[in-house]
Amino acid sequence: MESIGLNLTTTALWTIGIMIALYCVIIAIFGGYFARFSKDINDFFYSGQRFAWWLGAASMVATGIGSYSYLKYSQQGFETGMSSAMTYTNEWFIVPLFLFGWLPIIYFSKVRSIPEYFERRFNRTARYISLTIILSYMLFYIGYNLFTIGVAIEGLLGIPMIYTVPIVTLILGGYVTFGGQTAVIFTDLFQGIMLYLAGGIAIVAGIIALGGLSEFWDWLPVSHRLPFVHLINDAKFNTSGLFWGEALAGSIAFMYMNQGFIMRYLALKSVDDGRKAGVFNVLVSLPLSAIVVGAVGWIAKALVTKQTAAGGALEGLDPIHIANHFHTFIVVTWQTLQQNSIIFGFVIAALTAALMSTVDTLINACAAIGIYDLYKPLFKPEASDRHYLIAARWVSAGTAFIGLLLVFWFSQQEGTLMSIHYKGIMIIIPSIVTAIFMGAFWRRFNAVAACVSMALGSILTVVTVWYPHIIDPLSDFVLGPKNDEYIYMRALFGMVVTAVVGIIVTFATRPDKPEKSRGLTIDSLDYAMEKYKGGKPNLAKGKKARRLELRLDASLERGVIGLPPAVMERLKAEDGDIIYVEDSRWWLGGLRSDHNYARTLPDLSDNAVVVSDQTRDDASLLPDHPVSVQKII
Amino acid sequence: MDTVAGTRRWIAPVVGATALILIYFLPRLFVSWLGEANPWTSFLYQYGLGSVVFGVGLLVILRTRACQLQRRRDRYWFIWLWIGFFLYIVTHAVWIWFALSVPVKGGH
Repeated sequence: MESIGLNLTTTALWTIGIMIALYCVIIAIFGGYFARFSKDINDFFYSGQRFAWWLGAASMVATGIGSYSYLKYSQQGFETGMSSAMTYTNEWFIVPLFLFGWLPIIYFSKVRSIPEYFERRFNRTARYISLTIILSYMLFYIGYNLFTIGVAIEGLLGIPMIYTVPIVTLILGGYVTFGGQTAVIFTDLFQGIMLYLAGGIAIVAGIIALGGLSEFWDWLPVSHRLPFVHLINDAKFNTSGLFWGEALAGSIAFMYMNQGFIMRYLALKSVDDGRKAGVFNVLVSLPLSAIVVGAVGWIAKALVTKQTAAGGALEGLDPIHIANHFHTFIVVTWQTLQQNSIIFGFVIAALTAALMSTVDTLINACAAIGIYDLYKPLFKPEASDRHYLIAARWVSAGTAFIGLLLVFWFSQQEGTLMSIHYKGIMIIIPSIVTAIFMGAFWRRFNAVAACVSMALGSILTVVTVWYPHIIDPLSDFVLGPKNDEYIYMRALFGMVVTAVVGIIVTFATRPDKPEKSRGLTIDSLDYAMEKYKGGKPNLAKGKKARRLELRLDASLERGVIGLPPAVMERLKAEDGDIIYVEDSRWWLGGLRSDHNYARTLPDLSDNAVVVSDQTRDDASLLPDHPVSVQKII
Repeated sequence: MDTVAGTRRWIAPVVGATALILIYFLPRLFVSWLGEANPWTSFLYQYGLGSVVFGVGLLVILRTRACQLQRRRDRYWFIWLWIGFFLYIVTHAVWIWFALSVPVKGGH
């Protein structure tokens, strides 16, 4: 039989192809179903701040793992071992400022995008400088994801990416364009489960092939067992560089600036749920993800070491030879799954899932920025939601198309996937993450300083590509590596330069009016909360009231919920507080829910709540289904 | 205005200067103590400098009253910040110890 790529027979090839196609169809149907919950422009992008924390956290898994993750981290795991997990396990240092600073700022200020934050905090110029940088960042990621899936399919099946990538892009554009944020969140939930399942299968197969967990550990060289790499030796992967470039700049970019993640947090029902999702993501999801994407590389190293010691192929396996380390994941999984094309097809479908779930988020995020930061303010300030929804779908399609064009640019680049990725990201992000930090945590930082520091910081960072020795003194200061590449140290350089310029310009110019930053900096969160609610925040801790009968009363205004005194007491709520009402089936995760203002109805029975028809429709609540209520603020 | 007044303006420069001193001296201390190649040096680098960043973060959220410990929910999340921090430190430390203490069959 004809054999191509990984020595796949035609039958195996068809089986794998059918598995992938089947998966794509399921995803398209799944996303299509949830598209019906996008009623207006707010739903389309943010799902109306209504989802439970666990749904957000679960969808973040799929958003955080891209198709490149499996390939890149398996390669890294094979070459340097378990230290490949470093980039997933070094975020905690910046979590305090996120949980108590950035998250409440963006949530309570109801900003739609980071550029919008920049305009409100500084001015329109700052908005468009940040917009340029953020769009570059997201389009880079979209193109990179599409490119890596093209490379993977090319290596696997022998089909040139010129054919495969446009098809994948078309499918992605389809369900994101017509689904919106709700579709993205729910398909990501499904895909996150798929990712863990497929990664788990690949890992278990590898461990079994090795002869058990203890065999895996025993055959793994000490250098590959360690969670950290050498402090400075490897120019492309070293602890000091990773700390400054990845743990700080990279993590800030992912948590504070990545519009996809920001929209996840803004889709949750409260800041408290955002904190739960954030903590769960960093403490549980990220370490687990590090194992899922990197473990095949670790197993590959143990397999090869054992094979070398045995002087030939291990029992039940063909000899494992990884000529191109980039294909570590594909080669090893194919072998350890005993060349079972059905299971392998499922694993490859998960790889496709990784791509889809990351790119769908990014496309949706680009559409949000395109509408809220470009189309609405510049071209059509006043239009119906329906108009903006249609425009958003065109922007999504356009974004997918630009991503597709970038694939051809990536395919012309030289170097490993890892180096292309970080070289690009570490140039793009430093100035904006610094500006976000200074804007959110330093009230005195003004508009002129923000604009000048972002522009100058970006330019100087780019200059270091041609003059890397500018970074020498800084790298020396932090005891970093000294070389001509400075992949990660470039990010530190960019952050320092932006900060220094920002500080100098701030003190050399007049401060902005205090009202400008009110509610948008960490020291004015009480005001932000008050503005969000439209009244004094009520922070008394109440309890959730469950399984209440939903009654209708046309006389109530839209957005108001009538509650009996007993329920108000249980919630520790007062009239005017924001109440979250949801279908009492917890596993819906808030799909049928909304925020409303509380009003005490003394004559109402203790086990009922009242809303108008319109309020019920806004929340997609079903007649004859009990609801639960919870005080938010 | 409901913002926190900057009553003690010397704090920020002092914290900044202290952080810079620690960033400069801590890595050198670890390297002179254990050497560049020691896996514990990388561990100490990450958590030594990470502690500086983490500590500054805590100081900022407390000073600006973004985190008010008299509020129950703020206290709850503040405790989680410490739990997460120590969980990572302990996990990585045990991991290194385990990696070094079990013999390798391949002999290297």
